[in-house]
Amino acid sequence: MRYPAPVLMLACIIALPALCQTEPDTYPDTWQARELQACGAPDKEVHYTVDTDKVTPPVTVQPGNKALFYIFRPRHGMTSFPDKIAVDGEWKGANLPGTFFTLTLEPGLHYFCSSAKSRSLLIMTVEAGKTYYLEQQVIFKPHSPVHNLYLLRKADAKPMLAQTTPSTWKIE
Amino acid sequence: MRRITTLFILVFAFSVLLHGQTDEREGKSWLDTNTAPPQMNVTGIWDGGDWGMVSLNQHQGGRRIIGTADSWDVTGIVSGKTVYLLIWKKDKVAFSARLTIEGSSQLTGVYAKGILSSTSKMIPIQLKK
Repeated sequence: MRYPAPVLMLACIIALPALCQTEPDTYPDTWQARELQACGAPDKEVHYTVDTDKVTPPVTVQPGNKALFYIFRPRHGMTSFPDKIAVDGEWKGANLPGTFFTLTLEPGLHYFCSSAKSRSLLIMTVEAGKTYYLEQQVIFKPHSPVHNLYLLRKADAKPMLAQTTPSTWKIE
Repeated sequence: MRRITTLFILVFAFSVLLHGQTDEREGKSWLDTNTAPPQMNVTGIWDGGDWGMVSLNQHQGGRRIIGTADSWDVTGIVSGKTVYLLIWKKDKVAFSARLTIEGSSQLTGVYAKGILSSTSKMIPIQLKK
């Protein structure tokens, strides 16, 4: 079946916007919207009982088609409560002072939420085959503990990571 | 006395709220004055020296930026080959920066406390990939 040239041209013109479509140029506008994207809805929040696991070695092999994350929490003073991590609204695990765990993520944009008394967010586009180091920093202060989630350079992360042991947890 | 305290708290809360909105409005208006189409994509992890690792995220073909710098929130816009960034401390603009691309792996420019203007005390800044 043959179509006349004007019909084909019209079909191309109509299809062009769909073919040229790019991602919408929008991001969550407010801190609250970014928090929701990173930490998820309050009714989906999980609570962990955290311990250290000195027996089972954690996954530390770079999968090649994914990004590998080391998430660790150095010891800082008197804080002992767990610090948990969610990615894109899904809770992934938690650390105590002096522990770490690993996780792998698909390449692309991800929203991280670190939660311990207060919350800290990190938004980053990750690449397959790369390894990233995130530090959960919780510093005790009587009225409001300082809480940050930092992306670190490998050289800065390695010495701190060396002083941590693997974390293990149970959902309460 | 209790009435005065309540009134003081209300006025204080209202002024805090207004101040936050002012910062948000001023920041948005500062970004919106730069309207050129983007000529680059700055998505990636940048080493900002004292700023730590700076994560910038920009949709393909988009102008808007979202990210984090040493656990501070970052929003911004790409206009031509220049990046305009706002660095937020909660709902207050702590710093703003204007950077231009050099090669494909370096952003160079200046930053200042609050929103950059001709009277700002500007400090040089460099982000490297």
